[in-house]
Parts: sequence; C-alpha cells; structure tokens
Amino acid sequence: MRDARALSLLTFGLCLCWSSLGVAQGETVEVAGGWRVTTRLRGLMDVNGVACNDDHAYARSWGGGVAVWDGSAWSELPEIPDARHGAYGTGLAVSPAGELFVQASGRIAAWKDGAWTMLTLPTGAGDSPGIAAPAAGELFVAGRGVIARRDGAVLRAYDAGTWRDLAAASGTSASDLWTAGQGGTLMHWDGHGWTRTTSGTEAWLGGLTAAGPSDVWAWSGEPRRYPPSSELLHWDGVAWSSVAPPPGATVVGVAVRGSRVFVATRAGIFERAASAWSPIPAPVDIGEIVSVCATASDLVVGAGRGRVLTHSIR
Amino acid sequence: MNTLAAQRARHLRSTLLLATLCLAWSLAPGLASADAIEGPPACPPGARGESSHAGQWCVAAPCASDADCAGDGGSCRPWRVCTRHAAIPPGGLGAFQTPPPPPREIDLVVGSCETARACRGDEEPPPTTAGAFTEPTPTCTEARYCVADALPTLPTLAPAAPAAPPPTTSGPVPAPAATCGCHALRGHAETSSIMTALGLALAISWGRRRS
Repeated sequence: MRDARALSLLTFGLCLCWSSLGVAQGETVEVAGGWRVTTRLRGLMDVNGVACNDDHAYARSWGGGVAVWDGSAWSELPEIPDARHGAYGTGLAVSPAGELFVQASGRIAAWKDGAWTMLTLPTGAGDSPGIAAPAAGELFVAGRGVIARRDGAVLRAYDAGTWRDLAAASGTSASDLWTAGQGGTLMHWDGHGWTRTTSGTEAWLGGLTAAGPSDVWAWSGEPRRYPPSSELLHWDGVAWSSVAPPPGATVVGVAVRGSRVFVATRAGIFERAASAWSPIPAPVDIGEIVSVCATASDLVVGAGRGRVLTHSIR
Repeated sequence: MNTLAAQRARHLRSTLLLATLCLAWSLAPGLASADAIEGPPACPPGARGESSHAGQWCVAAPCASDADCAGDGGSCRPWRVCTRHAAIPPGGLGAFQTPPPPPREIDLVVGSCETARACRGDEEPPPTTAGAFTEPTPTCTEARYCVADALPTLPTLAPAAPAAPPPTTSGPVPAPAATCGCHALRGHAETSSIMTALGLALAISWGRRRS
C-alpha cells in the first residue's frame, strides 16, 4: 500500500516537473548569443504559429490566445470575442500595415486599431486554411478548391484554379499571391488569372513565405501527411527548384529578411550562407520548434512548451 | 478508525487515478500520432475522397439524381472522369497479418477528361494515394457524377503601374515585409497545466485532511 502511494506521488511529481520546465511564467530572459526567451504567456501555453511584419511579431496558441512583440517585450491581446464558437486553429497572418488575422475555428478574427472584428469562413475553406495578408486591406484565405477574398466585412469565395486542398498562402501584393497544398500544388495569382506552376513534387506543401516576386519559399513538413517528406522549394521568378533542407529534421518554417534566409526545422534554426545551412545555436533547450518569422530587427521562433524566442538579426 | 481508513483509501485511490491520468496524458500524443488516419482528401470533380490506415484516395461518385449527392455536395450531372486501376495494400493491423491480405483492387479517379474523352493526365498532379497504379494510362469514363457547383472567378484587378524589374541575383534583395501563413501541430501543454493544477489542489486537500 505504502509502495503504491509512493509510486503515485513519484509519478505525480514527475508530471509536475515536466509541466514546469523552464523559467518563470510570462517572463522574458536575456540569454547568451543575442537570444531572449519568453515562456508561458498566460494565454499562450501552446504556441503553434508566429507571423511578422517589419515592426511587430505575433504568436498564437491553438486555443486562440495571441501575443504581440514590439521589439522589446511581449504583451497579450484581448481575448478573441464570442468564444463560445471556439477560437481554435493554426492560421496566422499580418499585413505590412499591421492588420492581424487569426484563424478562430470557422472564422477569421481580424485585429485592427485595438479591436477584433470577426469574418466567417466560407464553405469549403477546410479545417486548416492558408491565410495571407499581402497588403493593407487585403486578406486571402485558401481552402479546398476555394480562395476567399475579404470584401469589407465578409469573405467571398472564388474558384482557386484547382480542386485541390490548399493549406498555405503568401504574397507580396494583391497581384502577387501564391497558394500551395495537396499533391505539390503551387498556384500563382497575378491579379488577372491563376497559373499552375510545376513544383516537381507530390508532397503536401504546408507552408509558403513570399518575400518578393522573385523570392518565394515553399515547404512540406507535415510528417502525418501523405506522402511523408521534408521538401524545400524556391521560386526565383522563373521556376521552382528543390533546395536541400538542413539535415536531420522536418522543416517548419522559412523567414526572409532582405538577403538573409532562415529556415526552422523542428530541431533547430539555420541561416543560409553560400548555398549551405549554418546553424544558429540556441543557448538553452528550446524544445520542438513550431514556427519562425522575422521582423526588421529580430528572428522570432515559436517553440514547444509555450516558449517564444527572439534573436537579434540587426 | 474505520472511517479514517476508508477516507485514506479513497484519497489514495484518487491520487492513483490522477497519477495514471497524468501519465496517460503525457504518453497519449505519441500513441495517437502513431495510429492517426487522415480524413478524406480533396478530389477532382465527380469523385469523393476516402481514407483508411492504408492512406487516402479518390473514387468516382456516380449518381442518378441530386438526392444522391446530398453527402458529397454539388449536383448530379454528366461528367467525364479519368480513372487508373490501382492496388492498395492493407494498412493498420492488416499489414501485420501472416500472410497479409491481398491488396484492394480499385479504380482511382485521377482527374477529368477533355471533351474528346482524352485524359488530361499531367494537367493536375495525381491525387494522393497510398496505393500503386497497376495500369500505365488512365481511362476516361463518361457518366452522371456528383460534381461540385462552380465558384465565380476571382475578380481581376484594374491595370496597374508596370511592375518593378526583378532584383538582380548578385545584389541584396530589397527587404519586403515577409508575411506567411504558419502552421504547426496542436500541443497539449495547456491541458497538462490544468491537470497539474488539479493534481496540486488534490494533494493539498489530502495533506490538510491528514493533518
């Protein structure tokens, strides 16, 4: 009896330790190598996406908690309203002008001028749509054969140029929009029509970062999608080409700032240098990396156990 | 004394249950992902998605009237689908049987055909499937199928100023605002913390009663 009690207490203690790893909740700690580590923002226990523009970075949780980084500290945004619908999801995008869009179950929550407004996703958007905010006032949501575009207070559904499931969207303007998804699909909207481009892969492409008309990155990296793969592709303005990803782990994100290219895998951060990947060592165990983006001054990394890291790239 | 012993036994059972739940929660994501089945995939017009432990694929969605398309959406109308015969090996526990069951022979929909009944083939990449095609070329079949209603075309933009020339590859690329739709897997840290808090409350309660 006593042994059983001791065993249960030991197990419980281990669980307590496991869930309490890291520094104090909601604190940002400066560590070596230009890194700052923030843990356990109250509404952000499980960071699953980050998005950046020049000035700010945003991080979201599966449950819809959102925090903003202003270059020196993280602060939490008010709760997404009407929570009875749930605010679950992974989609997150911010426009260069600072409008933030968060997938919130079957809706998109838009944050602008200190207030949330809600947009309903059209039928066919799917469970995991790609969200892009390529310019001020512009919002595109890519789903199953559907591309929805914001028209005032509503999202209108249009033909996406393919019947395929689209899981990612990114662009630099309303006439330079990319979507990617099922079966290696890569579509480009030039403001007048869709063009299907040859990706050279049948992998599920789950991520896109469009840094310029001649600089777009796409990656697969969802290990539970079929076929399993970890592809990294680059668009140079003419064609997509396969780029060898950093070794050892699945790609989860690409961040571009000027001529600098950063790739996050589940296990580490790498910078492209002379057609090779140079690791950026993290000074602490940051757990499983889930997303990456870059402001003008910081690389921002979302990681497991509710951690958000920033690294100066000035 | 008996009451005190019963209380202690009850607390012990609660603690054991909590510890078991906590342990199960910390192990569950790994077990679940090892046994995950993707939902049905998106499919070409005239087809519906299916999935199992063996993977995902698209099969034809024949119909006689719109009522037959209630589950698939869209309407029942003449359409031409391109199919390829495939063999899908057993998935899940079936893959471990000795001898393994034979693969499932099935016609997979890989696209639509042109009006001349020529399969477009490479116009769309083939739908996701875990099986292997057993015929080298697709076959076009014309019949009534459930076909999704067409969506309008994205409005075109007014002619804009000429685009800037593409950056040279030798110089630094101008710094645009990089935007992305970033995804990752759902974590379970939040729920774990709730479990921890509940456990802590129970432990404190137990300690107080003992004292």
